[in-house]
Amino acid sequence: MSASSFDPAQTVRFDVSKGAVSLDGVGRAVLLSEGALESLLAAAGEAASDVLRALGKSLGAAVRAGLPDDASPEIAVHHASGHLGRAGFGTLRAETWGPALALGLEGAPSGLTGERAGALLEGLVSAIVEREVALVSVGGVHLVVSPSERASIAARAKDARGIADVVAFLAEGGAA
Amino acid sequence: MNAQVQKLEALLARVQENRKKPRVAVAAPVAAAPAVAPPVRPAPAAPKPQPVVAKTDTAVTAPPPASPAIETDVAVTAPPPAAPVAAEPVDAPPVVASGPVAVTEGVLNTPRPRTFAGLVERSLSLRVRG
Repeated sequence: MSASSFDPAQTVRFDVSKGAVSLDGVGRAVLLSEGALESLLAAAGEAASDVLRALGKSLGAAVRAGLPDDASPEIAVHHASGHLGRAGFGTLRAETWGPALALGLEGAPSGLTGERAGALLEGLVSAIVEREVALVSVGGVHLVVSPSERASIAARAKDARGIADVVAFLAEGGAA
Repeated sequence: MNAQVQKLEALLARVQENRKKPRVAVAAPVAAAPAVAPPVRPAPAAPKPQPVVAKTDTAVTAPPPASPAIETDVAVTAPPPAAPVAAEPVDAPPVVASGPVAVTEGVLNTPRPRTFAGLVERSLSLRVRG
């Protein structure tokens, strides 16, 4: 697989005789219906975010493995979106709002919206950059912020009319 | 003799008449020829310059519209009234236009990081003002 493009061909293999599905030739995968996923998340309750974050991290680790350290934003987003799409979680949209990075999940399965989508993307990005990040949901997208700033930015986001309002109250203040 | 003289006179008269006839007959077509020729010459000549001029005009005027420049202007000027900050899709070509509007003046001069990790790093550095 070239680093510049994500090609899912031949990455999912079905061994029906053994009842196994493998992903990227390294790990075993399980196919779930959209309804089954929703039931699992509902049963997980408050732990659903942790489940989704773990799912996102496993996807992000695979993305990270196929990218060089200096991957451009376009290439990284392309690969991440490809891995999400191959797993059936939708596609990734990324935008920069001034210095802020915002992510969106489009075409996600039902039940995987809002905070849940944020949790999945949080795990995904954390694994790609190999450091913990937090996502704050604002107006249908998720703002990438430092975990230490999540509470204060989320509080600001509650009363905001959109992401532009939130970003207007933010300033670069050094690495977290 | 008289009969012969009369014949000769008749012949002479014919010759004289014939001499007069060709002069008029020849003169007429010669005069007619140039009269027809002039309208023919300008006809083909006139259309030639027009297409050349027309092509030149289109060739010269086509590039100036510079549609990209117009689109850029529209893209830059349209967002500001909508919101103080506008989104810049990451999957767009790396124009590093730094977005139509930024939060502070300093941000305007800050180019977008070239790597995804750099982009995340910058977003992680954000703090609530004050």
